[in-house]
Amino acid sequence: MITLYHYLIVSALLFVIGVFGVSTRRNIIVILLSIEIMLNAANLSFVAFSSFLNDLGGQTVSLFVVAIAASEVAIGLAVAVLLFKNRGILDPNEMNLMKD
Amino acid sequence: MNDLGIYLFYISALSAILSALAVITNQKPTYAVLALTVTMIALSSLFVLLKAYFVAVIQILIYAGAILVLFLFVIMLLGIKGVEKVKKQKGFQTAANSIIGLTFLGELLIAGFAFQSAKMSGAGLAGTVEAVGEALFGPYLFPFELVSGILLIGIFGVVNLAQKEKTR
Repeated sequence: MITLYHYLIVSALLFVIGVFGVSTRRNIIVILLSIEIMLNAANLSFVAFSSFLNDLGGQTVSLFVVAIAASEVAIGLAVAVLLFKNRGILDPNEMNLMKD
Repeated sequence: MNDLGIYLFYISALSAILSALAVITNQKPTYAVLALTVTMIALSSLFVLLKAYFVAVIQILIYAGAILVLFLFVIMLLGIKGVEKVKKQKGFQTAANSIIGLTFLGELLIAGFAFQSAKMSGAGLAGTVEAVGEALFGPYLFPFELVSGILLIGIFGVVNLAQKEKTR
């Protein structure tokens, strides 16, 4: 019997994997991919609650999350392309012009 | 839920988690995008198990079909080889990162523990296109229009960022 908690466990694991990806990797493209993992984990949580609690709001909000993720990825990739053109590397630790 | 549903849930959940691990540990960004595609497909099958059919198809169409293809195009156009320097962390940094990450995971699991006994709803709710459409054009009309505004501003931003610099 698959309860709601099973889906929430999967969602929590995916979210923490995304957090590890954002904090560990040194490539901006992979950081953006890890953000996508986190958004998908939140989507799974939304849809799981919507299905178990008989409310269509979770699935509707999940559609909004997908749309917002699309626009965020577009702008993030545009910024990453500009960074690569100006610096030649995609290492976030090297983008330290504002540091002392 | 019959046995097939339970097997499908475990297979999909396991493949989603394993491919997400493959995304964050792969050295080449191209392989990371492909692993994320597997994650999206596994999540889409989980959505089908939750009877959210419209969201499942939208997940495949938009996430795996548009966003990840955009990622692949950018990686291909930039020509990123992807071998990044991995700085050797000090001993306590690895332990601190793991402790913080596992604490966060435990907190999420405890927060969801209250829902352990919620049963799967019967045939009442099915996330078909008609039902989600009625919700989108009914109570959720205002966020729907706002999201279209967000997409428009996203287009403005990308076009502005992509223009050539004007020579002074």
